[in-house]
Amino acid sequence: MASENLLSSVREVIFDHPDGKDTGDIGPIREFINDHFMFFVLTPPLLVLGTLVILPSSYLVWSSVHEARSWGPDVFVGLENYIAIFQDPMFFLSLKHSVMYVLGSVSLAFVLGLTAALAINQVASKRVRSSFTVLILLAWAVPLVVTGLIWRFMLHADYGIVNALLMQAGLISTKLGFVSDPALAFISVVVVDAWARAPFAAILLLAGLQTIPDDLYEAAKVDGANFFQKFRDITIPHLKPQAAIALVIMTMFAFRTFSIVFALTGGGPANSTRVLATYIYQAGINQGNIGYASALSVIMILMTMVFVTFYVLQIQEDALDTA
Amino acid sequence: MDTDQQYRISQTIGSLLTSKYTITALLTALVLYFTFPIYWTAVSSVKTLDGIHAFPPTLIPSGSEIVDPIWGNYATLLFEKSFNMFTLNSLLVAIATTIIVVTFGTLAGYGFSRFRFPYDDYVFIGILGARLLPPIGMLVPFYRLFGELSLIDTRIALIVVYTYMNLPLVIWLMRNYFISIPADLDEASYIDGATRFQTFKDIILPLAKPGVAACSILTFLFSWREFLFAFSLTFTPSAKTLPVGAMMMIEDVVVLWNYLAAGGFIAMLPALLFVIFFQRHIVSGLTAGAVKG
Repeated sequence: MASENLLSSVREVIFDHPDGKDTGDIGPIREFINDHFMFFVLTPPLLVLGTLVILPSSYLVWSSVHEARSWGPDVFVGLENYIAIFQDPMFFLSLKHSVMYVLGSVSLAFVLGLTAALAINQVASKRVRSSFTVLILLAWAVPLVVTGLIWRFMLHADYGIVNALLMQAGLISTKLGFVSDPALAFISVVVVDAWARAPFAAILLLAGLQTIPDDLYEAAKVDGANFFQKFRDITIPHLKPQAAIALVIMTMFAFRTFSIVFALTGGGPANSTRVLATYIYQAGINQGNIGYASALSVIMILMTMVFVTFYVLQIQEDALDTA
Repeated sequence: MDTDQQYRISQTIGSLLTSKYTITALLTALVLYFTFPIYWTAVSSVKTLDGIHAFPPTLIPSGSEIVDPIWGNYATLLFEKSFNMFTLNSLLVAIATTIIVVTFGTLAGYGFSRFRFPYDDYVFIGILGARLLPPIGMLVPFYRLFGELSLIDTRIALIVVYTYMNLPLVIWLMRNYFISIPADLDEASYIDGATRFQTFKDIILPLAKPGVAACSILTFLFSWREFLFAFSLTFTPSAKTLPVGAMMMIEDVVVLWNYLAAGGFIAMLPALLFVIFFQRHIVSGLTAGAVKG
């Protein structure tokens, strides 16, 4: 009995204050929540996110100035890890590969994506247009590691379908080791990465194309502009902001690529496809050289920051003006 | 005269390029290029190892090249190679992450869209920045921190990491979505005597359903397909996820491509289905996250 009374009085305080309807009184607890609603909605998420960002990042900086291995105690070494990195030829090799990888994959994906976006945008029927969007977006849905693995199979030197198709088309006479030949392996990872990245570019650019008002094209048609003039004077200028953002995002994401390279070639043959991400993985996880890998990570994050800043500045106005 | 001719030529090239047939041919080629690897995964997943090793491979396998029964590879994977465990792990991790991330992200998104506090812009830009940090850069500290906390090889570790990776994006998307809902609605609701919580729960949240849907789908997909952390933080079938299981096939001396294809197909299947059925949500989420800020 007593507990029932207690329960109902608690209920009253929280939910059904007796005078609630008449006076607008909602009870002390709900009133407290109401007065501090901003605090209630923002604090838990920001605490969680803050912990998950600040804890590992500070640990990253801390371990980057330590000689930290999987075994033994950590020893403070100052900037030694950083100095070692700048004397490490493998760092420069993987950085060079990363840069080439980004340039190759992003430009290829951009051209593919733009072609797809322009072509889809020409389709009049909305249903057909969204079917094409779905079909191209399917490639985006494939987990990147599966992308790497399945292309590794398709590019296989002995029984890969790519060799078979190229031979049947008469383009090559002997089977090529797409993944086992150092020069071809690099091209292969770039092409496969572009395959996975192009759908995203297509989606962004298509969204951009669809914001261009039809009137502009109509007016240009009336003025007698031809296809190329319309493309140069209407499509390109209107698409520029979207294209810039697509390029920045794709660059950031291509720079950090791990799964595709790891699954396709594992960084080989003969380090020909080793990029920064796989180098960090090898140093930190495989060799347990935590300090060195942390310093590498810090350098990589600083490099990404250039693009992050550019991206944030690009969209900042839009992001904050809407507030 | 000369420019007139030039004009006519470029007009002709233009109309050729934009003609129905060119567009159709181009789109067909693109679709073939983008979907063939998916088709090839599906086809290879029902082949025998002999069928896999045939050169040139048959585009449409028949007879002895197909395993009998046709789900044979899948059955072996699921019942002999722990893929049922990997599937369960993938599901649990992705669902738990989605619930946590979407709940927190929706609350914070609403907060950022309706309230001002000191330095709120900087906090928001910080969140945006957190989303853009390369995960590989955070791999080493997470690896070590989880080691200290004995969370290595648990699903909890993956859920924590995926929360870190997806929460910024969802806060950002939801904030934009809430901004698109006029604040006048909140005001009207307060005047009618509703509390802030009631206003959020009964008025604004129902209107934000499409945004919540987009965020849930994206978070689920991103968690489902993540590989780097899943691969580095798990060692036993008790926590490994599908992408890791597919990668494991490569570590054997002989690569069993038929099983690899079957595992890969299971790993890509939910994402394919999501794209087919929720294309609009995914596209709007991706473009809003990238462009609108």
